[in-house]
Amino acid sequence: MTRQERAQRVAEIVKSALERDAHDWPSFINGQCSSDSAMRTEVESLLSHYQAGDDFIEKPALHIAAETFVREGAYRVGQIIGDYEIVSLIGTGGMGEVYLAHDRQLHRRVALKLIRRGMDSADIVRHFKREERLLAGLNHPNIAQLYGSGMTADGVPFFAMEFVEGTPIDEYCNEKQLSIPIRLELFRKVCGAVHYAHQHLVVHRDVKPSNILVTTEGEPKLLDFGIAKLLETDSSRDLVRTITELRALTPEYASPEQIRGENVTTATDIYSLGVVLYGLLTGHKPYRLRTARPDELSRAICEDEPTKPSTAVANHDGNSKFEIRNSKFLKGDLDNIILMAMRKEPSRRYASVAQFSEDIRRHSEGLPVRARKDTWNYRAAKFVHRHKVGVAAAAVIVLTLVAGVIAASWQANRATRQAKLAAQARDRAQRRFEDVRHLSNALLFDIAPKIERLEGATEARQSLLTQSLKYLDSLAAESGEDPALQSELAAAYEKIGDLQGNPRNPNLMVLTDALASYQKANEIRRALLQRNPRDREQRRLLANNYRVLGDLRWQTNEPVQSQKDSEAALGLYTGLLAEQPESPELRLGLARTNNDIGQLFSTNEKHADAIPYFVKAIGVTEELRQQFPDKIDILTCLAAAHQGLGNALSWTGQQKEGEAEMAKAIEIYEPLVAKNPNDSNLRSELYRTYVMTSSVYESVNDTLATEYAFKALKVAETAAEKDPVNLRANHYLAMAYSRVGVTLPNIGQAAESIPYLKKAVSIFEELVGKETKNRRYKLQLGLAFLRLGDARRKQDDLNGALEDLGKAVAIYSELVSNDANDNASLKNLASAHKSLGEAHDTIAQSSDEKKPFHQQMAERHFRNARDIFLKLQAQKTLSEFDAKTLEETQAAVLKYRRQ
Amino acid sequence: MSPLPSQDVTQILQEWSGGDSNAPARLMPLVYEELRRRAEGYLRRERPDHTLQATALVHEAYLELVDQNRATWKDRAHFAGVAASIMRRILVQHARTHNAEKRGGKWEKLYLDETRELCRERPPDLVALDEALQAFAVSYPRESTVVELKFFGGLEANEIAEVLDVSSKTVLRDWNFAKLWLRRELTGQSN
Repeated sequence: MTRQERAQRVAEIVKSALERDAHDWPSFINGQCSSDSAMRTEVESLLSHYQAGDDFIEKPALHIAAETFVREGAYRVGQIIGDYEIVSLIGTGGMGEVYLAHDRQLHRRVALKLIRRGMDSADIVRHFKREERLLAGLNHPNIAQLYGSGMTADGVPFFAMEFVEGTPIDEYCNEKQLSIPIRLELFRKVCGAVHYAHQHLVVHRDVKPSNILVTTEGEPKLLDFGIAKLLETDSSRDLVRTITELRALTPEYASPEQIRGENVTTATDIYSLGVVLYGLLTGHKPYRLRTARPDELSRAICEDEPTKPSTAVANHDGNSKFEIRNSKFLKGDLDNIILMAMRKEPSRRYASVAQFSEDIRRHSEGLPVRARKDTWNYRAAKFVHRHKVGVAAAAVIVLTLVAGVIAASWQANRATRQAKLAAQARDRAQRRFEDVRHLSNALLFDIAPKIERLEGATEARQSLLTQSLKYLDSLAAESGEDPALQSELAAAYEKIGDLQGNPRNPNLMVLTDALASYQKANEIRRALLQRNPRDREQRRLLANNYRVLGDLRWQTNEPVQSQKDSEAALGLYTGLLAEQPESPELRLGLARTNNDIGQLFSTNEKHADAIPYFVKAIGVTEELRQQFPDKIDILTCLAAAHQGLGNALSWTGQQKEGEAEMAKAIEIYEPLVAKNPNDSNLRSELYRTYVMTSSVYESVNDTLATEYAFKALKVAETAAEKDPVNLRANHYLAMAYSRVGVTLPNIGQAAESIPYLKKAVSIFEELVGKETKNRRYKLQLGLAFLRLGDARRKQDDLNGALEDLGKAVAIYSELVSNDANDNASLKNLASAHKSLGEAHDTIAQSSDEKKPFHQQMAERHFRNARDIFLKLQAQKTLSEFDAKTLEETQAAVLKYRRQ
Repeated sequence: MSPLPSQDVTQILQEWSGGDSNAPARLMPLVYEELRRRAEGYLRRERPDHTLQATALVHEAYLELVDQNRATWKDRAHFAGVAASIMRRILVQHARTHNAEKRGGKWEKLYLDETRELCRERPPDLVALDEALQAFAVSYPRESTVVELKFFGGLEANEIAEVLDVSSKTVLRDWNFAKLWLRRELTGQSN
C-alpha cells in the first residue's frame, strides 16, 4: 500500500467505526486491521479523540471571529494615545474600555482606561474623572496605582493605571490550596489597602474577589474604584446616586444598606470584606437561598442571619472542590469575627477595617478578640429601647396637633424616679399610641377621599400627606408583629402612595415617593402572606398592590420591573378568580392589569404584543358592564382598553379599526365628563384619549389630528387653571402643547408650532427639576427638544436647532445609559442624532468656513443614528415608519462615505 | 443598500477568481473594518446577549457581501467554494493579528475591573486550526474541503453535498472523521 492508500484505508475504517456503537469498536478494529499493528495504532489513536456530543468546531468560525470582533475596541493596536501605545484590548464594560498599553517614556506596561465612543455624556465623563481623581489620591502597594491621565486627540478623557496581572483572591487561595493562617494573612493585606483608602476618605463600595487580584508574587491588589465614594464632599451625593444607577452592584457582596439604597459608609466595605473572608474560609456563600432569584438574595441580605461559618463548613456536602473541611478552626473566634463584620446594622459592625484586621491578628496569636456573639439578650434589649422611644415620639406628635387636650404625658422618661408615676405615664403613652393610630386612619380614610377628587385641593392634600406620613412612620416603628396592625399599616402606606401618585387618582404626582410607599406596603403584605399563605384577603390586597406598582413603574419608565410587577398581579388575580370566579372586584383588577401590560408594551413600541392584552381587558369589562352599567370604574377601564387597543391597532397597520376603537373610547368618556364636571380623574382620561386620537390620525388625516390636539389642549388648560400647582395637570398641559406643536407643521403651519413647543419645553424643564428621578418627564422633555429642534431646523433657524437637538441627545443618552431596555429612549436618541445630522448637513452646504467640521459632525450623527436603528431592527422593535427613517439614514451615511 | 463599497468588493473578488493571489489581502481590510465598526456600534449598549447579536451582525454583513456578488459567479458550487475560502483567509488573518496583539496568550488571566465576563471562555484558536487543516489536506483533500465549507463557509451538510457532488452521508462521514483528526492534531500541539 502506498502512503496515500494507507491514509484512505485508515479514514475508511474510522468513518465506518463512527457509524457503529462505541462498544463494538474493539471487535470491529480487530476485524479490519488484524495483521497491521501500525494501522491499528493509528485508528485507535484517532478514535480515542471521540467525544459524544462534542461541539468542537460545530459552530461556524464566524462565531469565533465575532467574539474577537467584540473584543476589538474603538482604538487600534499600535495607536498612540499620549505617551502610550495600545497593545491590546483587555476588556469592555458598559461605558469604558480597558486596554493593555505600552508606556513609551517609562517602558512599562499600563492599563489604559478610556470612555467608549458615543458614551461620553456629561454624567459618564464626570464619573470617569472622579474615578481618576480618587485613584490619584491613593498610593498603596496593595492598590492598583494611577500613573497618569490625559485626553485623546478627539477629546475623550483617559487614564493610565498599573497593569495588574493576577488571579482573583478566592481562586488564588483554592488553586494554591492555602492553609487558613496563610489565607488570613493575605486577607489582612487586603484590609490594609481598604483601610488606607478609608483614611483617604474613599469608600470602595464594590469589594469582591474579582476586584482583588493576587499577583504571581503573591501580593493582593485592590482594583476598580469605579463606583467608589468620596466621603468629604456633599456634592458627591448626587454623583453617587448617578453612579449607582449607571452600574449595578454585585449583589452577592453588597451590604444591606446598599441593597436598601441607604447611606454608604466605611462600614459598607467592612461588610463586603466580611463576605469575602466568609468565602475564603468556608468556600460557601453566607446565605441559604431556595431560589437563584436576585430579589431572594436581596431579601436574605437584608433580613436573614448568615449561616455560621463553622456550620457552613460542617454541613459541607463533600462535592465542592473546597479543601478546608475542619469546622473546628472556625468555631468561636472566627465565627464571631466574620459575623460581626457582617452585621445588618452598620453601627454594630467593627468601627474600622483596622479593628477588623486587628481582631484577626489577635485570633492568629491566640489573644482574646473583640468580637462577641450577637446575643438574644442584646437584641431583646434593643427592641425594648426602640419601643420606648417610638411611644414617646408618637405622643409628641399628638400633642402638637391636639393641643390642650392632653397634658405632658410623654414625660414618661423623666418620671422614672417614681415607679408609680412611670407606670401611669407609660399607660398614657400607650393610649396616645392608639390615638395616633385612629387619627391617622381618620385622615387617610375619611378626610382624604373627600378632598381627593376636588379641584384646587392640591395644597390641602399636600399638608394632609405630610401629617399622615409623620404618623405613619411613628406607627411603623411601633407596629411589632401584630398582623392586624401590620395589614392596617400596609393599607395606610398604599393610601399615602395613592395620594403621592397613583395614576388613577388625582394627586401630586410625586411618583418616586409613591413607589416607595407602595413598596413598603408590598413588603409588609408579602411578609404577612408568608406567615399565612392561605389568607385570601391578603392575596387580593397584594394583587392590587402589585398592579399599582406595575402602573407606577410604567409611569416612571422602568419597563422591565413594571412588567414583572404586573405579571405578579396577573398571577395572583388569576389564582383568586379560580376560587371566586364571580367577584366583580377581582375581574376588574384582572382587566386593569391587562390594560397596564398592554400599555407597557405599546410604550415600548411592541404594539402587536399589546393587542391581546387590550382585547382581553375589553372582554372582561364588557361582561362587567352588562352587570353594572353605570359604574365609573368599569366604564373608565373599558374606555382605557378601547383607547389602548385603538392606538396599538393604528401602529400595526390597522388604521380603520384603530380609529373605530378611539371613537368608542371617546363615546364613553365625553358623557361621563359632562355628568361629572368636577372629576379631574375622568377629565385626564378624556384628555389622554384626545391626545392619542390625534396621534392615530397623524399623517393619515392631519386636519383631524390637529383638531384633536386642540381639544386635548383645551381640556388640559381647564384643569391647569383650576389647580395650578398640580404636577399632573402641568404635565398634561405640557404634553398638549407638545402635541399641538407636532400637528401644526403637518397642516402647513410650521412657524406657528414653535411657541407651543417652547411652552412645552419650559413646563417639562420645571417638572424635571421638581422630580429629578422621574424618567418619563425626562423622556418627554427630550421629545419636546427634539420637536422644537426639528421645527427650528425647518424654519432655517439652524443654530437654534443644533442647540435643541444637542439637548435632546444629551437627555436620551443619559436615559439609555441608565436603562438599556428603554427602547423608546433609544429610538428617540436615534431620531435626535438623525436630525442633528441633517442640521449639520444643511449648514455644511451653505457655509464655507466651517464646512469640513459640519460635514464631519453630520456624518458622525448619521452613523450614530443608523447604528441605533439597526440595533432596534435586529430586536424587531422597529415600526414600519421607523424602518423608512432607517433607510433615509443609511442613504445619508452612504452619501458621506462617497464624498 | 449596503454600507460596503460594493464596486470595490466585486472587483477584488473577480480579480481573485482571475488568479490574483493578493486580492484577499486587499479585500480583508474592507470586510474587517465593516465588521468591526458594526460590532462596535452594536455593543455600545452592553447587553447580556451581546455576543450573539454581534454574531448575527457579522453574518448579516457577510451575507450582504456575498449575495450581491453572486451574479458574477459561474455557478453556485464555484461561488460557495470561493466564499468559504475567502472567509477562511479573512478570519484566520484576523485571528493571527489578534493573537499577536495578545502577546503570549495570557488572555484568561488578565482580569481588570469590568473585563471578567469576557475572559471566561477560550474559543478554538483559528490560526492553529488553519494550520492543522492544511496538514490534513495533504492526505485528505476532500475531507478538508468539507471542513472549509462547513466551518469557514457556514454551509449545511446538504449544501456541501451539492457543492462537492457527493451524498450527504459522505459529507457527514467526512466531517466526523475530520473532527477526530483535527482534534488530535490540536491536542498534540497544545501538549
